[in-house]
Amino acid sequence: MITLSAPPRLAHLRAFGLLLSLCYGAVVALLAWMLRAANPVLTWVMVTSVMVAVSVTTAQQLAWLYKRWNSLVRWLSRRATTAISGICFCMCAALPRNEMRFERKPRSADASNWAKTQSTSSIADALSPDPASASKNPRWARTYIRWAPRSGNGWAIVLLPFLGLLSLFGEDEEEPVPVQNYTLF
Amino acid sequence: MSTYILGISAYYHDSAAALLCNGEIVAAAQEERFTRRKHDPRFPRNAVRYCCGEAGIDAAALDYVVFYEHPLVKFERLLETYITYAPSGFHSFRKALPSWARTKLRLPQKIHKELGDGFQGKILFTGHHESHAASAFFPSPFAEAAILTLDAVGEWATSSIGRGSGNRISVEYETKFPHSLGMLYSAFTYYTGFKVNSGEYKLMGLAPYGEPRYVNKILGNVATIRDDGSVWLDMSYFNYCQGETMTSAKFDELFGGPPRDPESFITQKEMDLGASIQAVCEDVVLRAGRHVHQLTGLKNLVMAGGVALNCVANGRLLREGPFDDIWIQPAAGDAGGALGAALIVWHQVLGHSRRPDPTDGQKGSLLGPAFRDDDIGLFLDSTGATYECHHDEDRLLDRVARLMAEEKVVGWFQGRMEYGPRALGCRSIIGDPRSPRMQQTMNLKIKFRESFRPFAPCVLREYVDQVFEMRPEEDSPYMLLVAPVRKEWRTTLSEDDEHRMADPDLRVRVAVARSTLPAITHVDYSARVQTVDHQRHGRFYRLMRRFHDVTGCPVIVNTSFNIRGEPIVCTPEEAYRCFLATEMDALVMEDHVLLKAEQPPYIRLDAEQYKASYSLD
Repeated sequence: MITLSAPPRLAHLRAFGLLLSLCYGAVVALLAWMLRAANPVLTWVMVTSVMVAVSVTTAQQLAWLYKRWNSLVRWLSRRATTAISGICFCMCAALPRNEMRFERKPRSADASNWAKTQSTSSIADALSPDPASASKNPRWARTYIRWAPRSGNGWAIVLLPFLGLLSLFGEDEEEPVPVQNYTLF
Repeated sequence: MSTYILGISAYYHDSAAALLCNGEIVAAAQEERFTRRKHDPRFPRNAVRYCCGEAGIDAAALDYVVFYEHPLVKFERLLETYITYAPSGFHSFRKALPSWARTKLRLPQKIHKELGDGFQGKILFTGHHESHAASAFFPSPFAEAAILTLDAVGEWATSSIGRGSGNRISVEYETKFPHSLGMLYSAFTYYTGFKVNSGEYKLMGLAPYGEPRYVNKILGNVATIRDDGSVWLDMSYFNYCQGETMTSAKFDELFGGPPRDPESFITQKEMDLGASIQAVCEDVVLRAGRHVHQLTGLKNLVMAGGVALNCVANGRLLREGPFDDIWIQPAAGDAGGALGAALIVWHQVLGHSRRPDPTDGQKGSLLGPAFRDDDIGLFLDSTGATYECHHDEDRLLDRVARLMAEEKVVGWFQGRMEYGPRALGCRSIIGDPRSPRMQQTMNLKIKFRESFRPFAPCVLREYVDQVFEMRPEEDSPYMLLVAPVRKEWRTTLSEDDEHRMADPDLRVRVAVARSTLPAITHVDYSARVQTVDHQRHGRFYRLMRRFHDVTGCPVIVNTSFNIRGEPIVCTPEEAYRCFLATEMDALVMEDHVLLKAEQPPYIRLDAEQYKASYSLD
């Protein structure tokens, strides 16, 4: 999502005013065309010109609107991210899986917890340290699609479109993680 | 034609970059030193820029860029963790998923974007514990060694066992998430009110004040430790898989209350908990060490991973364990993964031979930026600072040694910055360990903290066995071993001292002199030893020799050049600012000596403002 630089400099405010003027002029011109009230091109030029003049000369007054834009974008971004993450979370919980590597239940008292290292080559060969096969710029979606079934998590392919959406709606600044937690991600 | 390999660790904590040219370590640095944000996890663009600049190349000359872990395997671990705990864990999931969608799953693109269009090399990925193992073995002085990595978590593995021989390493066994010694230690760090992932060393320092009275409770409920050093955790006591705290309500109930509030008074309970988890940690490390020895039959061991920074456990493993010698990667945490990833590509992937350096290949871990004496002079002139310049090293060292002998606290800024969490004599604050006031002065007036831990000693290697219970000429150049101070240096506590040792305030207890080197002697007579030798440490070694000539003492106090919460200084500007903001008496930058008392009155830096610019660690 597009968040604007904060705190804004005068140039930011002017650019923001210019963009608003262009959009506002276009909306008024569209209305004029739909209502057949005036020449839409002339309307767009006139309205935009006036708006540009006003916004450039009163750029400081745009600060309020500028800040509101960021608040609105953040609000939308959070809501969208939560909704999409929620869908993904439900899918994670509901979709069938073949096998899990995560072990929570205790083993027998004398069993060692050291296990033979599982070769990662079958799981992540697209990312393996093999210079011959390493691509110069691998596409992440293609890598993901190849990885998911090989890792026993073929179901994870259904997350792909949502991951794409999340990257669109994600905030430019990541949320800070709690300082007292050891994040797992 | 030279082959350049850039190793990168990022997006977890302590991002870093390391550059190899034909297998030789050219440069390595943590991003936090440049951004001034402690444990900065962001892409290490400043560190990369520095490394390339040190080699005199740009990104176009890089043949390989290696990331230190497999992001997709880690993503799999995350998904399975959330699946296991669903419907709990959504809050954490909601925070994790966007950052994966935007960055971590798109690392090749991200790397290309950061390096620019000029970069035409290949991007490779190694396993997290492979990177740790490589960072431990390849720079070590051994042709063949057993490898033990102990960490919180990488992709799935939380610890691993392997072996290194010639130019190859193999990781053979591992323990898997969520069962982790590092996580267990971090859980107690959290519960005792310290910051996770940076307060672990404080808990280790707190341990000698307590009694290990909770060991049975830990082993009977929270964790099961096998004879082979593997750890199994009862996850009902923890909350880190699904929640935003390390421990659960059941953990609180077991240990009699909620976690201590950060910065609140430390009670005997926290001390006992610290002693208990430290005892468990040492036990695990010893058992794991013996198991590794049994499996490999090798006489040398190399270690890495966050737990390998637990120098008390390391010291015990060396003294009581089955290995003849141990080498530990000084950047044992995730930052070191950047170096390991690059080394694994050079030796194992590209198949280049390896000739171990009898000292080690880490170059004293002095792999960061250095600044020319002329540039420092120009900088000082631009600030209007008053300084002396001693191009004759003899005079310079004599001046500094005498200042130290007068109990002055000296900022020592020389040569290349250290790679790893410890200041090893290039970005250090140093002083006389014999002074009974040194510890308090350094803590309160320079580090701005009320610490219960003594400082680390630097000792001339040729005297190490005379001051500490270590073997003659035994190496500990990276401050990763704790050893007891020898009995002949210890003092008998007076009745008043004994009384003060019962004081609930740890600052009172730590101020009790237990040896003729009170600033570096802990309450259990232990010390975190750094040996200093001519080969690795150059001018720092010569300074210590001169201090020894002047005072007869082969030991000095060494603490990192920063205040609490601040990353160690990197540039002369940062060193100068820290010098001005604190009550350091002198600053030595290459050949330039600045005395605080002689600085012009118009050059002042507000200490409160300076402190406020860094959050507490």
